[in-house]
Amino acid sequence: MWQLYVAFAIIFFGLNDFTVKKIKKANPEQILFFQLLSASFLALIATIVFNDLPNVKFFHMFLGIGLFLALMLFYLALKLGELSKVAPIFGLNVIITAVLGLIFLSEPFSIKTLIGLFLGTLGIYFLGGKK
Amino acid sequence: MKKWLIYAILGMVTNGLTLFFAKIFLSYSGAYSLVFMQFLGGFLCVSAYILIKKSWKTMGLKEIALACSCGAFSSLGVTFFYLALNETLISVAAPIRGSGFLIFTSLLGVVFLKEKITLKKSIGLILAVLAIIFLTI
Repeated sequence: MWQLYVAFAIIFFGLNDFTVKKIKKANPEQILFFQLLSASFLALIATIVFNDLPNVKFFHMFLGIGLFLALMLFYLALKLGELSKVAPIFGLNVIITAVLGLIFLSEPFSIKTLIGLFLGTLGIYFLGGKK
Repeated sequence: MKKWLIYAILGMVTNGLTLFFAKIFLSYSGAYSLVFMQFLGGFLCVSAYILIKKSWKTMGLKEIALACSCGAFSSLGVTFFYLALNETLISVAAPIRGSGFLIFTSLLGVVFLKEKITLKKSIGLILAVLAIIFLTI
């Protein structure tokens, strides 16, 4: 089932990136403002519908600081640098997450995981690199 | 070091750390409430940033509608990803999301923006597919 969830996540993240590219006349923070406003509203509806309100914890909002900082820094980097250089560097965040999971969450490690991580990093570099 | 590179590296590290903490929080919390609180926190941060910088300017309805639809897409994307994290390892799900996202975005670029598929992109696509296979078998 998790494979299906990841597939949907990929589709929606892709659509998000594609739509951001369509917005021409706005500051990054203005796009973020409306994006996060509507996303919060929809997430609140999902929380109510799926009866997850009792799990709401105030300090989880601190993840929002990370979300805001990551997106703002990405937009600032895009303003100054080329997309083909900035995107692959930013894309490497998943490798950081995966390595942190292996080190601090003691997730099982195998040669297949190592090869997968290595190929994924190379793939991100080739996909985002210059022609 | 160039400014854009510093921003890109800081953004990469921040995003990587955020996903890592999300996985920890998910061990005792629901995905939906976590997504809600994360977006709410992000919204408060960006509102504070706009107030401090006084960088607001008028925006067309079309831009507002597009930005709001981005919110819908990112909300759904994060929710599905957190649901996946509830069921599998982060060291497996994160690289798949990263590779798959680049493949899907490249396809959207080719189909709708008429971008060309270069040799380098083709190699990248093949490597990304191989990475997904290695991480899921």
